[in-house]
Amino acid sequence: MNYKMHILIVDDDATNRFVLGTMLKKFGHTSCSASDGYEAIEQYKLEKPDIVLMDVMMPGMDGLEATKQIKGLIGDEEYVPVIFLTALSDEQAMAKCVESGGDDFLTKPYKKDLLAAKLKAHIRLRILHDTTKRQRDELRAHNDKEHQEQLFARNVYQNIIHQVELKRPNIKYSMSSMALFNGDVLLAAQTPMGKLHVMLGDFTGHGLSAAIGAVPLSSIFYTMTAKGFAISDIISEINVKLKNLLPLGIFCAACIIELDYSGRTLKAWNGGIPAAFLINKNGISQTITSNNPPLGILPPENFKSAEVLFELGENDKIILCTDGVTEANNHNGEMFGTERLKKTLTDNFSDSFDKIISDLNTFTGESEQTDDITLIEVQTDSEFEQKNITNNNTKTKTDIRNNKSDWDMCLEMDISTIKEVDPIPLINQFIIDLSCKSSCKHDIFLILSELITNSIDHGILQLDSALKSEEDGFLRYYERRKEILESLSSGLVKVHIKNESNNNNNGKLTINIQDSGNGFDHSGLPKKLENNLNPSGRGIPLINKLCQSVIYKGNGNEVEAIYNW
Amino acid sequence: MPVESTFSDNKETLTIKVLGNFDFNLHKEFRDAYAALQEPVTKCVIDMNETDYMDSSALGMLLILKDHASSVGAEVILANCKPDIKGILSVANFDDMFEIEE
Repeated sequence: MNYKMHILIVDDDATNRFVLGTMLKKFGHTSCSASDGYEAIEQYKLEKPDIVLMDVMMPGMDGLEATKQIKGLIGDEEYVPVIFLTALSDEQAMAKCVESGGDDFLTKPYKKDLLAAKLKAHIRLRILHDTTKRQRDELRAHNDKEHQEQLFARNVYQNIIHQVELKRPNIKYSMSSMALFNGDVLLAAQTPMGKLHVMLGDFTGHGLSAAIGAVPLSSIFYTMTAKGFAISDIISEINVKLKNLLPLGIFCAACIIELDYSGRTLKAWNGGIPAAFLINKNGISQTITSNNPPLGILPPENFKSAEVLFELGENDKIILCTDGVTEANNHNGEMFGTERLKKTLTDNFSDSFDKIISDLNTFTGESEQTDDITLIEVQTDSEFEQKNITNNNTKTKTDIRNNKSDWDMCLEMDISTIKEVDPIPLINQFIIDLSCKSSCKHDIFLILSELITNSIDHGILQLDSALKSEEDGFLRYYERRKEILESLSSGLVKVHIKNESNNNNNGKLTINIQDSGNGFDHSGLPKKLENNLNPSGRGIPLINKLCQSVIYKGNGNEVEAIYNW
Repeated sequence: MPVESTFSDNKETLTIKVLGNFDFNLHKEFRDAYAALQEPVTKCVIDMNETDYMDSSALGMLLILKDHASSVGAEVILANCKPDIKGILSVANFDDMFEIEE
């Protein structure tokens, strides 16, 4: 080690100063000197030495006071050792030196080797101190920059995740993340038919690496929900995307639900979310168990997107939470657990959400949070259904398309298409591009989807709506529908839509739908919506109300509806 | 060591025993342990008799192990899982992807 240091010698004896100065020069260091305390402080300010050799007893200001003041000037940021030069040997005097801020002693008369050894040790300390300080400053600067970047990224991230959709009167949620970024993701959006999609995801790990996958996930969720895709389609798409994007070993446990307020049904797909329940005032009525692996693991050919259908009771609530809730630890290392959660849910229906939060806080106490925690409650009462199509801000499109336009569109679906493709999202895409008001779009969507569903379900599949009136009817209806659809080998639906615009930015839409089924007796159809209190059969009266005319033709396998917009 | 690996006498079975909490902190040790999974190994047993808890990153590590194992033609067996561990495996539906042995 051959560092050259600049050393301040403080001694009232000129001979001593000379002797020390000569020794230091031989070691390869430079020096400056002072003959009392006052001068020492001035010299320190002027010369900024690396080490100070300080005599204790001097006229004017002594070494103890000078050391106190110099150490005051140095502050905590730098290490400038002060070595006392002393003939003293009693412990009390030495204690005073330490008290004033001294770092070491050198006894008179000076021995060359001892001085060399002491200087070496302090130089080493000084270098270590400087290195540590530099690294600390670098680390601090790096952290600040990192934090700034993360804040910026989080801003963008939050815009993408778009959590404003969660602000609905029937949703309560709480997300508490361990880092700036959350590995849990919670999304909600409404379908064009007024159903509510909610998705809860929990990526492996926490922080930025976990959050990054939420970007494609949310974009697929919002886009496909707005187009009216079913949750099974959405979940398949997300799975493929995550499988392709994420490295092996990183995946997303997820639960996605579709709430049909008026049909009083809930469709759910759960892959790896531990706790999802339907509760009513008697406690937990049904459990949405995980029967799939998390998203991003299976290749598309092995992925099962089949959803489970639940019938909803009148005031049922849905509770979903990530394993951050069930696996939260208390100070004994015990977990909150599913049983505690179930008990809280069973004992408290009206304030279940707040009660889980407070029970969890009481349980964990002061223990450190070890995972992202997300909890959501959704009330299913039909009064919460929002009727209008969401986000249909197509003003720019309207401006371009204002000019008068007449067109015709024909869509034919054979049985293999009906088996594989849900026609409703296709229809919706087409409606979104129309140039009419959004309330009209909602009407058109409703008319088309009701009529097409009728042609498929009742025309081709010959299903009886009366099934729906029975207990568990919706469930049985959907099961039956699936069975028949799979067994059929022929069938055809033709959709013909014709638009005639007039000059006042209005128009007439003629919708003609034919199916290959046997038709039905349409003479005794219920005409008034108001009189209908059945769970089914609302479709045709509703369309009658919206349309200028609805006429069944032939043996009932052809219908023509005219809608003015 | 929280991760112990042993070979059978015929060198065809590699047993990796995980002790305590199976989580991201074991990432390196676990990876080092299955690096030994090469021919002629045909079977890799993860012994969880003394595993108390596993998190999602452990599930991720199992997937990586499975991928590695299939590349050398070996099967992965999860053995002696405690009820808590079984619960986690079943929520993630890993019981369909891995052979689980009592």
